[in-house]
Amino acid sequence: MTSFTALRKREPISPFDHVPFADPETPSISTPFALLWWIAYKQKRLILSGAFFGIVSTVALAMMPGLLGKAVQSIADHDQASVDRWALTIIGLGVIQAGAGVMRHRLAVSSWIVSTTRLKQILARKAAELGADLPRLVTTGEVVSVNNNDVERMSRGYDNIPRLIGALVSFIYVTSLLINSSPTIGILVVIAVPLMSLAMAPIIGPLQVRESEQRRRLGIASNLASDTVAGLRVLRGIGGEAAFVNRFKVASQQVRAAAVLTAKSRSLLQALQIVLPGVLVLVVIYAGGNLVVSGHMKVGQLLSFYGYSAFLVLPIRVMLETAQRVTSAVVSARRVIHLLSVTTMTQWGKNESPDISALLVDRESGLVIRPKELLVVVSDSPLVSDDLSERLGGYSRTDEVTLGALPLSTFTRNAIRGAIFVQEKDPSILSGTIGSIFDVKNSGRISIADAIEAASSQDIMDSLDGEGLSAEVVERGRTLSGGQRQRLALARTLFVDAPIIVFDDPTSAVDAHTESRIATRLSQMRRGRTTVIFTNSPLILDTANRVVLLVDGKVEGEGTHQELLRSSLKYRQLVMRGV
Amino acid sequence: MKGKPVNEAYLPPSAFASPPKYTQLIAKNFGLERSSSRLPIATLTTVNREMLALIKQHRKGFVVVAFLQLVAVSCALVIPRAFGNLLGGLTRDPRHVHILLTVCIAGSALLLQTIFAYRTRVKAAILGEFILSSLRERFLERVVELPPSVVERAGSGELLSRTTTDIDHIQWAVRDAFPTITICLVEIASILIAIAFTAPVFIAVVLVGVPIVSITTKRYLNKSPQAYRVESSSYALMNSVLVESAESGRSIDALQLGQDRIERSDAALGRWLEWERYTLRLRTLWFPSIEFSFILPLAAVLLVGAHLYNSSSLTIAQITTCLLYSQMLINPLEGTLMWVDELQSGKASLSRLLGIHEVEEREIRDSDPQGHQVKGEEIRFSYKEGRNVLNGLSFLVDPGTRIAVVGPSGAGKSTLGKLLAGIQPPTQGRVTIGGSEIGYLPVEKARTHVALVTQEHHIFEGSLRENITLANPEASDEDVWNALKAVDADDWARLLSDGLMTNVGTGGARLLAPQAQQIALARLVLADPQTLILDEATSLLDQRAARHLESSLSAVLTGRTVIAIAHRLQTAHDADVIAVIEDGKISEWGSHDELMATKGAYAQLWNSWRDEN
Repeated sequence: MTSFTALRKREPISPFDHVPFADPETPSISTPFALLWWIAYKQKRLILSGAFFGIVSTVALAMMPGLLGKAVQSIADHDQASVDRWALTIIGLGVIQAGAGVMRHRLAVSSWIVSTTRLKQILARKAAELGADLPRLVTTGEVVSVNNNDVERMSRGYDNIPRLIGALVSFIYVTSLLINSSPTIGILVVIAVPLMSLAMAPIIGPLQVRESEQRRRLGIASNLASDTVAGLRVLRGIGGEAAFVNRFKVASQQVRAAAVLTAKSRSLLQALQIVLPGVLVLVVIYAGGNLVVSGHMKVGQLLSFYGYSAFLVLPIRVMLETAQRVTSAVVSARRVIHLLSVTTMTQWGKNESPDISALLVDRESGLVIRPKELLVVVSDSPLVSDDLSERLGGYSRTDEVTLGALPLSTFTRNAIRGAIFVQEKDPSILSGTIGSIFDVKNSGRISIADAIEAASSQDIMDSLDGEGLSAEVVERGRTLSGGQRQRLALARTLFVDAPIIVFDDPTSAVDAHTESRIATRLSQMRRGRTTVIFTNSPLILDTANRVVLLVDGKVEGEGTHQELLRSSLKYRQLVMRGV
Repeated sequence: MKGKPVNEAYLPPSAFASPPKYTQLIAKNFGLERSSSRLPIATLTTVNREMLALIKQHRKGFVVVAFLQLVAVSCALVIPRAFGNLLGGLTRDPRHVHILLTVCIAGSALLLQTIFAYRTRVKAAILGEFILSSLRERFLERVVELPPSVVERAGSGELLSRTTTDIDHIQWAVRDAFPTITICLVEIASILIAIAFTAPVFIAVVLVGVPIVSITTKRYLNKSPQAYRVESSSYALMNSVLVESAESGRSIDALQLGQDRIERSDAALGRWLEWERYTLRLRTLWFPSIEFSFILPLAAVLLVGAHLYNSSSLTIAQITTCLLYSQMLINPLEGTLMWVDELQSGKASLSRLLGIHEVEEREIRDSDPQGHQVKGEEIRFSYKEGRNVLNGLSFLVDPGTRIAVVGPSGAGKSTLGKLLAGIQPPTQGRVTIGGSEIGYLPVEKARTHVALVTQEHHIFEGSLRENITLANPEASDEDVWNALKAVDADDWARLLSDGLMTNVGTGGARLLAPQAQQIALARLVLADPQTLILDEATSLLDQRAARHLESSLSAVLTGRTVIAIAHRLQTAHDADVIAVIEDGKISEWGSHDELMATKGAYAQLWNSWRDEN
């Protein structure tokens, strides 16, 4: 941080110093154009100043042929003083062009960056707003592709604006110069340039189709490559590598074939950009040459005309490029809007103070959870426990569950999240240090060390890079074993220490030794708090105050573990292990 | 107005390096060194050598591209020359010039230039694509040959990032840079030769900008490749924050981390922006010097030209032609500089890709196992120096025995599994199967004798059949169904829409984790080795399903040696021998009844677990 502040002092203040935004604001998302316009309006100063420098730098470039023509004319006239003056002017213009050019670049890049930043900030806020609903409503693939590709493509459109405006103004400048010196040639150019742009337009469509086909093929190939690498341990253990390499080679060759097709379209476009303006230059030479012969034009002017008409390839190219970028920006804006219009399905109310010492009741199953008890629920189907734990935490159908006789849907989301914590079957560990995993809202009653101890997780830190809490978990904990992830999540849940905790099978992946240790410590740690555990493990059932048996999603019996063992055959079948 | 400050607390220590002061720019400050610890990175010398070899290997293609470009540029050079001559003629005597002839000559040249330029670009693209595809295919070939121990150590993350990010990153460098630089260099050389033929004196004049460009470019290239590399990795990491939020939405919601995610994402954005500012600054210093140095020769040509025209050493035709030639130099010069920049930044990724080739081969001591007895002799193993995970284990397993390994987490059970499967040899002592040290056998031979299935499961892109027949692609449908039956998977498999041909990869039928584990076991049944190591291979199934699977599996595995590491004690109960491992040592060894009789650790555990207290 300090090093960067020092750097900043010597650096001209960058045009995107004001981002990330403290508040990226709410965009208008009625149509793709509305969104694109909203963003442009928000950064109008960047865009306008970029356009200014775009005009200065491009017009400076467009003035060059005129100066060269005058200088050559002075040489032909043996006017040394004028030659010197024109040469100095060219150098001066070169300085202006270079200076304005780099400013245009800075502002164009800034436009792109500021738009990217704003969109990414908006997406991050949308993700937070949707919370648990996000993975249910939108596939990760869509989030990834909107966030990585569409934001980029939308923002690239703004990057082009300074160049487009510069190109348009310089086109007008050059044609007015031409019309002034020779109306015939001038009007010819005014008609020819848009025609040439139109002539190239039919190639752009197929080119874009081929480009997207190439991207699709590339996506398939890299998917196969990462699939092979992700499963490499399996392959190295059991064989079959050759088939996988061959499969990848086929996909890779398909990418190559698609890329060659794209290259052909692109090369054709480039070739047209040589030949069409080239023909224009030749026509100008022919017409201009005859004007010189008839004495209506000077030699130097003809050189300028040559230069001007050669210059016109630039506006043509910029217009084509802009057309391409605007098309893809609109398509991408539509996809961004689709993601931003997703809204949560769960209903919430305004009540902010749930009574945590009241009964928590699920109407559908008839399950009643009493305050401060350790309740273990034995179910005949893992799907039922999934559903029920989701309902109890207010992740779906919030009107089905009541807390103190009030449906969960009458409370605010935050109030319920603070009161009831549900640890799902396969909880996520987020990348970061062990310390950052415990950087969550908590009761303050339980120390990180105690939580880690209770979940028997000390050994996990030893297996990671770094010492103690600064040890780092990478790849969302994918490098950890299932048991390690489960114990780490358990430690985190115990540390949060919510008034009501619902565990869905928290020890499914740990060994019997560890499970028995965890069962004892968990019940000690949760004494005086409400805890519900979905499990069939006798080690945990033994520690329960009360056990409920669910069959087909309905409460079918309750009592202590021993009572149920004696009274219910179904229960014995579900929990008895061994022979 | 000022942007939100970057909150360092939200950035993982290794993830985002701050841009260094530009005066002290050293590669290691960029945080590039870190991920290298587990897989080698090729040195710069190797990268340069390999790049040269790549060019040599495709020599023919480069020659063709260079030749086509030579023709195209030669045609292109005709136009300014013809125009210059026209202008010269018009200056001297406007009545005796053939304007139409000039236009016709220039027109034919333009046509030829267009055709050849098109051919050049297409050939260059084909060449670039060819180099790129052979590079990525060779990389994957090498990756699947990596010794299993290296794969285990490197983790899938590091390999995956090389496979995706780095291959992506070299795309431009390899596919476009080589051919484009070739094209540009040919063009520059041709123009300079054309100038030499027109008026040799201008050669020195048009090069007047070179000193400026070379100084600023050298300074720029000193810093830019690493800077762009870190910039792009900070961009990727910024993207990954949102992906993580999307995948972990439920946990984030439960932990009320919504605001935290927003701040984390803003912090990552902030760090990326710092890098964007830094690289923009590098370009701010570089770009104007280049643009200016392109304009300078024009003024120089005019000044020198005027002087020599006055002394009648040059004609207007020569001056005009060279003026236009020096303008023509701008594009290829700019192209060369841009692609050299791209090539430089591609080098970092290339060195990570080529690093795979530098993985040391594992030591091979080939021999043919006699029989199937599994033997451990004083096995010790440590991942970190001085911290032994296994502490002197000795045992003997007769063929056909079913052994269960139990013990607390972190006792070294999984490590033992890896050593028994020959993933790597022990640090001290010997693990042998039929007298051969399994950790030193060639991989292909080792896996015909022993195979390992862990709880880590992976469903490959493709059909159910392809997923099961990995080791045995020739297997008949009947064999596959039998294997599925042996792991209790035939019921749900029969319900799939296209049977064995059902796509189970992305976009296909989604399999649950327990089903993935069944598939892993079905693969093993088809591979049919004599010795099987199962490390928590049924842990994701619920206990009754696991129990049932184990009994149907053992029916097909009669006569095979099965070493099962398990956290469920019923697996232990059913085994012939139970090994209890604690603190890297075997603390108890015997059948269920024997261990119950000794009333040791196992007996205690069993009692509490069976709930018979």
